[in-house]
Amino acid sequence: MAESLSYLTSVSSQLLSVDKISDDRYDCQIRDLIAYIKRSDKSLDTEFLLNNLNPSQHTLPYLFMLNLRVGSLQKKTRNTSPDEIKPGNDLWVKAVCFLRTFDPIQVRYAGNEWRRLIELIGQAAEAAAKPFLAVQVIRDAILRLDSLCGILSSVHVIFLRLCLLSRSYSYALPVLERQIFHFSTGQVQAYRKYIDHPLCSKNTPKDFFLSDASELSVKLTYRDHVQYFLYGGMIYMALKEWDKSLHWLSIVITSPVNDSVSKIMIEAYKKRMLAGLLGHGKLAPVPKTISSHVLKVFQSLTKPYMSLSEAFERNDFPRLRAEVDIGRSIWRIDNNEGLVSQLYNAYNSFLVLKLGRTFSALTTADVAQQAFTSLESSSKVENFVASLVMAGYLGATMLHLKSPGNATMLHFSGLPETYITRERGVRAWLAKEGQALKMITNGVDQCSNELKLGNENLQLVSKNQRWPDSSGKSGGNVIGEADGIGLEIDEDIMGDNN
Amino acid sequence: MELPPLSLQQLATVVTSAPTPTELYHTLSEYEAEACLLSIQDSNQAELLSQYYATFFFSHLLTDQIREARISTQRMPENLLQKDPSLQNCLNLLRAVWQRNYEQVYRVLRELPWSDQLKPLVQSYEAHFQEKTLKEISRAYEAIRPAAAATYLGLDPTSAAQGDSATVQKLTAYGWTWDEEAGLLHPKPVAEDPQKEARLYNELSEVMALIGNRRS
Amino acid sequence: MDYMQQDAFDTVSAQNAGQVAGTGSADLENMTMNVTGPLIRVDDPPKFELESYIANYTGRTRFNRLYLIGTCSTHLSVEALKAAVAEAKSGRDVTRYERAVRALADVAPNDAEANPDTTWMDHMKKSVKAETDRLEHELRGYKNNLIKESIRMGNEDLGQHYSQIGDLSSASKAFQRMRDYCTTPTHIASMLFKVINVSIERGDWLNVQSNVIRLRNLQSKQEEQAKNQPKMSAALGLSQLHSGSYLDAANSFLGTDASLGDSYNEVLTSNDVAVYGGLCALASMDRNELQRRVLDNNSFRNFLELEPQIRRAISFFCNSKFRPCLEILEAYQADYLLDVHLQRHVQTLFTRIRTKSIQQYLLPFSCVTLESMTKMFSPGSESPTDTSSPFVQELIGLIQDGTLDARIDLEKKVLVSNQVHLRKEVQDSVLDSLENYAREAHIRILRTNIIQAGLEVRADERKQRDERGKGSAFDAMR
Repeated sequence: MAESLSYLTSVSSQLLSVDKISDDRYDCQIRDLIAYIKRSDKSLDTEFLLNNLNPSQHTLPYLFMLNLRVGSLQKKTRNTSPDEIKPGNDLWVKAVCFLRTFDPIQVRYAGNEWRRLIELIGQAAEAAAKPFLAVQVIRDAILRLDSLCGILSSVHVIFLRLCLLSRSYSYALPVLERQIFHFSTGQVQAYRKYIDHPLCSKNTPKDFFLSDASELSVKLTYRDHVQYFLYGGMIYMALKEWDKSLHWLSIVITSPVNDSVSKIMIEAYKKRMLAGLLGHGKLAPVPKTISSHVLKVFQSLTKPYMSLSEAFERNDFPRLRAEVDIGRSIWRIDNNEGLVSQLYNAYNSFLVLKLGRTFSALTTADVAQQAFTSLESSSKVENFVASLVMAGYLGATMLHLKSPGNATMLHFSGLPETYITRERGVRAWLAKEGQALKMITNGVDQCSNELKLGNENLQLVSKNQRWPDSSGKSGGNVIGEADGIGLEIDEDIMGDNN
Repeated sequence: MELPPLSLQQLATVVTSAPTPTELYHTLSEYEAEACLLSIQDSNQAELLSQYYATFFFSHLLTDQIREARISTQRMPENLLQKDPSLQNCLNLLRAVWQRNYEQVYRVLRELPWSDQLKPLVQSYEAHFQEKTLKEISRAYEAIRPAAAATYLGLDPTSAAQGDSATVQKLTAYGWTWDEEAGLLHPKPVAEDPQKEARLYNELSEVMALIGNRRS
Repeated sequence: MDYMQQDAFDTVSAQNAGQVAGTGSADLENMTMNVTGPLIRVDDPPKFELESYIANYTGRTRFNRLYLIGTCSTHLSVEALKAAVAEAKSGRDVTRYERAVRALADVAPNDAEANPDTTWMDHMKKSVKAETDRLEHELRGYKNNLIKESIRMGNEDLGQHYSQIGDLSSASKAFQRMRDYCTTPTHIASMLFKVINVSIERGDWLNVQSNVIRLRNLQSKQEEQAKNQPKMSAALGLSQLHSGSYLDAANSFLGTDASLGDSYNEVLTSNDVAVYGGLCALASMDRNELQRRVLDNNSFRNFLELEPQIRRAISFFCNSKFRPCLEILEAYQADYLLDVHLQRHVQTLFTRIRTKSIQQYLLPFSCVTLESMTKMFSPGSESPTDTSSPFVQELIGLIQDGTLDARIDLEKKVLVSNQVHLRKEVQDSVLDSLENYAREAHIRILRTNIIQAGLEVRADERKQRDERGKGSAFDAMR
């Protein structure tokens, strides 16, 4: 045993000095190592090795040993999650420790094993009714493997589901904030095979080693990606980040469809309506990318939500109340009861907010009269308004008036914040948007390249096709005409300027 | 980085050694998984859990993560949450803070029986809450009746209403002005650093100029 | 079927509608009157004198105007309806005679003329029938002889006859049949005018417009064109007024040449052009335009001299004296409501003028007291600065629908116009478009890549769908 231990440690120690050896040699050695482990897997004492290998240095052997050990235990106990892997037990601790410290490059060569380990952890935590235990571990593992992951894998979906189950929404944010652009799949990337980079290289395109080839993800289905974005939207909703949730849910409802609409998309459409009301006091406009027949399907299946939003948007409180009551069973079946119950508070807040667009100053008594039915006592309204102002939700200030009478004046200033705080906010926004734009531009470029729409490609195409120039016979006429029109327009513009 | 295992003692060390509430929060959130492994059946572990969750809860409040605090209470073991007095107190406090029921917040902080270990946290939260509220008032109110201000800040509203000079003095100490005749206090907004602002303004102006050029 | 019965249950409106439905000649004018629903009641006495008013008109419009005044005005109902009965009896249209008598019987049941003169009716019906037969027969004769001019005139006579007896759709058809037999531009012009006039009476405004355009495109002599222009513009203006495009209508009326005089009295008088044009302009133009295009318009001045109150209203408006302007309009409201063309539009026009006055009034100020505004626009109302006062409610409505860019300050009781923060607006719009671009681009990239990865939603995989414990996850939203 000591012999194999020393072999494994020596090889992986060499691997650690990545900088010193070339990519090709690294590739070669690591493949040898895998071959060695696979060859001798029966004879290895996994327990001994696990205790003596360092997961951060000897990532690859450690990972294989973990999987072998679990596999043999599963076989022995005929149980998919044997006791040892249960949270807190020996193997669990080892797996968690491994996922926190593994070497991300070595793992590229054992995607399948890595993925299985994560699935195992997730299952074990869920089986113990403590899904939270797996959340942090899996999150760190995802971030560790690829700190800029723009590719959706099956692990992502597992992770978000665990976050929702354990109500650890904010823990999902580091993963959610890395925008997804690609989907791991084995089929389409075939053309990349000729790009001759070893897996370990820094230049390897990300979605190559995250494709099925490296088995970091099981093969995705359409359900996985719509589910992922729905989960993400739900997490943002729970955190009351309405704009983000609207975006994520928009992704779900604009998913391309072949022949029919998925139920998940309909759920997303319903939730999106509620998110619009809660976040902006009105329905969010439907993205342009959605096709009209899909939209019709959505609309025909979400009628109760539609009449609910109508009541909300038209400031018709009695009707809103009635709609909420009528649809109670629907909200329950759709698991939207919580969101619907938040509507009342949002409704009141938006009422006051809308008043700020009509009045620049009014007393809280006026607020009660203008916005709220006589049911609400004026002191209740006063408290409500005060809490909105204190929370900074309302760009207004309050002014207690001289007695007699306990009147309170509400001033809606023209500018919600002082100039300076605003400018600061704007700067932060600009920086953030700039960052986001960079990501998007990268995505667009990559996308264009894949679609062969890159600049070089287009030039090549136009060269190959030898597009007719103005001296061409039939084409020449058309182009000539077009030129003439172009000139005319130019002249018109000049005329306007004069 | 390996954390020392969670224990009552370790918890106390973390609380006393954390330089800022944010760090306290981060350290404690690292322990949440470990806490998850503890069982509430074991009375020692249950005590540790109650202690841990209550501390963790306060670290949320001290960093003004009210929503997160609410979500974290949903992650606590249901049985523990229902019967543990400390955590019940925490829930009461959360409700009051969530609803912005100021009187209730101070009442819960001052009158409910908090365990000795939690007392320092309770006190620092009271101070934190007061300070935060003070900032909010000075932003939200142009003029405020002393009684209302006293309620917001956990002072005695009845004596303030009668124009008790001690209360008024306490408030004018924040830089507020007292209009004796009208019986109103005028809060002073918390000022920002003007120099930094000027620089920021210029910087943004450059960006805006660029935008302007592009647009035309 | 149920639905129909419910309609019949509504007896009151059914009766009103029944009166008009009359014979099978379902002409459009009657139908539009149905659409207007309940008749407008005008209780204030109008400023005009009925006899001299109606003397300005000729032809079928006389009856239509009298009938409208009779059914709408409480003051003039008997007088106008009696005149309408007489007017109908002097013509050959039995249906309108019956209508007038029935309406008269409603307001003055004991009047001698409220009883239908059945002998006259029978006689007239017979005579009409005979005349129709004679004209049809003659036309057939002309057609057999293939004499173009005769066929044209035969159709014209027939159209004339149908129009006289109130069968407007047949009249319109007969006139339009003349088209193929017209030999000179003058013939075509006269034919088109006949079609236009019938269409005006039928309320077929689309047809009016298309025929005016035909008329305009007609290649005819200069003087001919000049002669037709005023009538064309007036007819076009009418059709635009009725389709609610008041600015276009104003332009058409303003462009009507003063030579119109009383040449188009079978449809409208020069006075009407002044009123219609003036009101439409007031409702749709700003102060500069009004000054330049209405008051300083030499040709339109001739019209305005006929209706000096319109001139005064417009010049008050131009001088920002909104109160006297609105007062004039209010004083003449009864007159306008009793006008056959204006009636349905008075409310809209007045509201627009009022809204525009409020807008123009606020323009130079950054801040106006509610009290002074109330004095200007709603004098005599109590507690002018209370939120419940109708004027403040009107302002609130105007602000909320975005007409007024201002806010109400209930502390100082003023209306404050909103300041524009250019810097803020630019910043906001930039951030907005940035965000929108990023979002949309992201969605589009994802769509592309989803399709590329072959992950579109499809039905065949649906069967194996598992809920993946979604239910419990969804509960987390409380």
